[in-house]
Amino acid sequence: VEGLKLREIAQRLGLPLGTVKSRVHYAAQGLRLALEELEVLS
Amino acid sequence: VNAIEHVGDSLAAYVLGALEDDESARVRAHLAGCAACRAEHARMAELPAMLDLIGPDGAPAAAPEHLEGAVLAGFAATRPPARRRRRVWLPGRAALVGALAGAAATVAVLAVAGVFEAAGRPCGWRARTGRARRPVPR
Repeated sequence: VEGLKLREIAQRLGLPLGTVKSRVHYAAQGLRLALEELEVLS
Repeated sequence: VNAIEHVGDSLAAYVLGALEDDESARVRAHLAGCAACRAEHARMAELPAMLDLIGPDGAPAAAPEHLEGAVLAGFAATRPPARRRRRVWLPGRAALVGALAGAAATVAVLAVAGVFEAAGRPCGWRARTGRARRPVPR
């Protein structure tokens, strides 16, 4: 994790801030769901 | 306003420290007064530590050597083998359950058909499908 702000990610990728925010959100949700399914997280 | 506008879709960025300071403060203030978002935050809070286990190239970062053994030992200690099922990703899982149920139903039908046939009674299902019936040895 590089510790970039959403704004910095958006600049690097040339994407709207809202797009980056929602992608981070869905990625985190997906990761958490996967880890729960694997019973790594409860 | 904060009490109404929930911060659920900001929490991932929040726990990752990816929000600007003012946005981060807004989330923090909302969490103080919203149990629902606090619960969601608690579920997100473990992710950064998980992500920190991954190196920049996608490989596990330098984890302590004893970690893997400790984790495996922990699994062995806390989870009886019978419970040790690896569950499939949720959308796929529903499909899998459906497929298994379908397969089980098919097997059940075939088993029943087989029983009737073995008992020497004509099997309507097979007759209707037009499949050739093996002669029943009698």
